[in-house]
Amino acid sequence: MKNQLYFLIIIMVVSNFYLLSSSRLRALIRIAAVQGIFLGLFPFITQASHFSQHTLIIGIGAMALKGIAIPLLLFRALRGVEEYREEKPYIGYTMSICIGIVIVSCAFWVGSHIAASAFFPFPALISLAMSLAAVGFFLIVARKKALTQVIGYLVLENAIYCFGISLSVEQSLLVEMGVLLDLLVGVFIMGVVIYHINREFDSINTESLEELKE
Amino acid sequence: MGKMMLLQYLSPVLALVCAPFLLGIINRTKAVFAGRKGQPLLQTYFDIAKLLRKGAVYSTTTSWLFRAGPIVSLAAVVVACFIIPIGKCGAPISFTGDIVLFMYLLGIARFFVVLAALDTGSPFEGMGASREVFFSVLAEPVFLLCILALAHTHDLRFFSILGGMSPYAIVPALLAGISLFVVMLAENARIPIDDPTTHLELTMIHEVMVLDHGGPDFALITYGSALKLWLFGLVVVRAILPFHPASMLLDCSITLCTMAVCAVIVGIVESVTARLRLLRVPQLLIGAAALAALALFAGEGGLFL
Repeated sequence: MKNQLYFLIIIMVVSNFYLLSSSRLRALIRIAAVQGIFLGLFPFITQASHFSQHTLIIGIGAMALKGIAIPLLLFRALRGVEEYREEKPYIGYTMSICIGIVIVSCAFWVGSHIAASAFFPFPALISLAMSLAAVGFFLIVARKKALTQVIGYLVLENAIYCFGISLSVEQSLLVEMGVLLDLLVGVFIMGVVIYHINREFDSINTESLEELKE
Repeated sequence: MGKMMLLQYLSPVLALVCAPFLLGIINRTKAVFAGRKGQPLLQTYFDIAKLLRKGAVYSTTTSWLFRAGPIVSLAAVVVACFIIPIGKCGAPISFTGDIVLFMYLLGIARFFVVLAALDTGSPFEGMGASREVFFSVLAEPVFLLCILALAHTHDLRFFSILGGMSPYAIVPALLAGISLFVVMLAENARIPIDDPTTHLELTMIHEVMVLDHGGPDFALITYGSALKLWLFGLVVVRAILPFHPASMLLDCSITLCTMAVCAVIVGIVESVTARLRLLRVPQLLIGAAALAALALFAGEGGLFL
């Protein structure tokens, strides 16, 4: 069981590196979708000892939403936009990967100092959550295109989800569903925002928002 | 004891004899992909034999460095062949830290090819030399990182890392293996880093450095690069191989078969991908470094998991 968990964690970290190094917007959405689907597998492993309908709903719900619904929404948002890649991010791709290595090392170094306890049965999941959160923030800060920033937000949300399932306490289904719903609504609104930015400025660079005048 | 001693020499002998065959397999795979019949599998041997029979012309602007380049670099790679073990048979030169010797031998080989290239005074060769050195600066640390990731429970010698009694846990081995594969492509100037068959000097990396070598000198260089490919292939294969049978000869033959598969994979990669823009190459190598770093964390008894 632990091996499967590590396998999933490694896949998530590799996908993080891919998100940091890719400039193609469609590839980014696809990788975010893959990340969502693998994230949905986590509850089945961590909650295997007390498996219930609840686990099933959280897992399948995350997969359906993060792996299918949100990527479709984002693809839809991109449909009218004639942009395929992030050309000039604030921080280049090679540098981004280097920073990613530092982020992941720090996260796993901190995580290795957390002793496994009844409350935190899987410290490695906390390391993963920390690295996801840092990569999410980094994507939001270091990229110009609105869509890439939305992906950063998604990765950030993945981190929260990951942190949630690393706890052994039974989470309330209502809270989990609330978070997922918030996410969906958030991405929905961002899709509309992307559409409007594009219509106003003929690009989805958030830079152009800095020059707004009354 | 005597038999063990003899078996140790199996690895260098196989390398010296079979290395050009790997290039044959790669070329045949590419030919099949392109729908051609392809050159004979032994073509590299024929090429080397033909080149050895030719004379060489030396430019008057070159010095002894130009002639020493191919000889020294081949000698260094041949010594390196005595370090890498093939499976459990072991290698004639083996001591703690032989990895460092291996890296330095390959470094010397590259250094002398680069010196010979600079010695010609041709601007193309200088450009190729600069690129070759730049990419190897990135590739070498990645190789060391991969070896460290594989070695963290053993001592730092090739025999305990590559001739291990038990295979590695699948996740770190896979990560390190992919990373080593990229290093292999970079160090041996294959697509997507460099195109060995290109005819445009401006886009060449390795080939442009050896443009002025002809005849026996070029034969030495071709043979040297075949040996280098063999050595890196051996490291990649031993890192990934998921089972190591107890019998030495079985282990050895499985390794050899996997080497052939590895060559086919190189051929497939070369057929389905285009050469990367030069600016993108560092990104690929840094990505490989990221995987290697991850392999370092992910192993059993790894650093952080």
